Amino acid sequence: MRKGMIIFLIVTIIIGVCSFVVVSAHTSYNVVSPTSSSQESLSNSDMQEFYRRIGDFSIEIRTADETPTLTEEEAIEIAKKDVRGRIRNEAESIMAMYVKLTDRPGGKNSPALVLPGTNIVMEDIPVWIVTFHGADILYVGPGRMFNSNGEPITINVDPYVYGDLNIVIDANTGDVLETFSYSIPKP
Amino acid sequence: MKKNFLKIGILLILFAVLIFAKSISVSASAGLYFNGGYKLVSNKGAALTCETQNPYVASGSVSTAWAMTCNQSLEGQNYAQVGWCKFDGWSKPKYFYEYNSDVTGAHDHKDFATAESESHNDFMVGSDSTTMYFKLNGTQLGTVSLSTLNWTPDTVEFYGEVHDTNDQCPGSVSNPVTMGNAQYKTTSDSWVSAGVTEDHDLSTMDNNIDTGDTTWEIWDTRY
Repeated sequence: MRKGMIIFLIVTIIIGVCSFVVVSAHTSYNVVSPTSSSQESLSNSDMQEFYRRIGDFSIEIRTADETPTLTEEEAIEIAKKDVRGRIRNEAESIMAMYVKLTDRPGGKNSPALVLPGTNIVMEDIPVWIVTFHGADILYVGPGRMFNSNGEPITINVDPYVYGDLNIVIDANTGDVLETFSYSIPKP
Repeated sequence: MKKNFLKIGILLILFAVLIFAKSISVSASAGLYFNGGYKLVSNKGAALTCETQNPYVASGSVSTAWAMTCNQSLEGQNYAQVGWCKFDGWSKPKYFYEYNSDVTGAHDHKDFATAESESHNDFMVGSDSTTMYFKLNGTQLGTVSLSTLNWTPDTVEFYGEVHDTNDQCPGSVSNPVTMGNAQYKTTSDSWVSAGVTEDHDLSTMDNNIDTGDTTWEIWDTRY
């Protein structure tokens, strides 16, 4: 009888431990806001990638001379608040850059973008670009998938991509104007 | 002694049951859930007029509505989409475009503040011979070269989407999100109506789509 009780207890404990493992696995996607407050510099190769990629997003940047209303620390805090639901783990580094930004989605000689929902013309706007480098970023896609018979199927994908998330903040008002992100190779 | 064993056993069983219950609820909540329509057709783009709303979004999740052109015959995620989205932590939705190619490894996302709630906007993702473009009300938001994607579209999709069962699918019973004028660009470069097939994942999602519709409404039955 006593032996039976002990076996019963052991089985119950095993069930409990297994359940805990299952829960841990399922909750591993919980979002953790980036907490690093240190501002770091990207490596030369990361900077080269940054400059190459902003071109892909039709963004041009140039040096800004005026003193911004918003400090670097304030810009980083705004950016952290904006991305808190989108980044799963802490970013490898956070960098802030004060520049004048122009966005010409139509190409080099096209007019600058009028920011949707506003009357802001995205030309030579003093901004802080806060870069969360090396982060797991929540994305929107991939949409419905289908099997070879053309029937909708349910897929189990990790909706995060490893990359750089850039928050463009108006350096005078503190408004988040644009966000752009791109995948990078995992180290 | 026997009584103590029994008590501990019962407590452990309760603990195990609680943990299992949590496990089941967690695994039921995370995923990709769709409400809308699709058309399996060779194409060069998709367009939709879609209403913007400001849905509730659960922690670490997103609620969104969009038009998409994508490839189903290759393995992996190959798509390009444009619409509005609201991530956890945002007070309002934003317009966005996003593309992915598992063929080349390219993945880009860009969003723009701020999408006006209750506004109806034309979203278009289409391609010419070399470039795929993303448009909002006729204004170009971005482009990507087709060689960066390196896949051929064979499906268009028009969905509201959430990543968590606790998210509000765009729309409510009293104020559904309108999706209209669903179109696709043929391989001979004409924009034509895209009569869709209805599709939704959750019992909390509903719509009024009949097969072949190009205009419909979607909503979350809990709101």
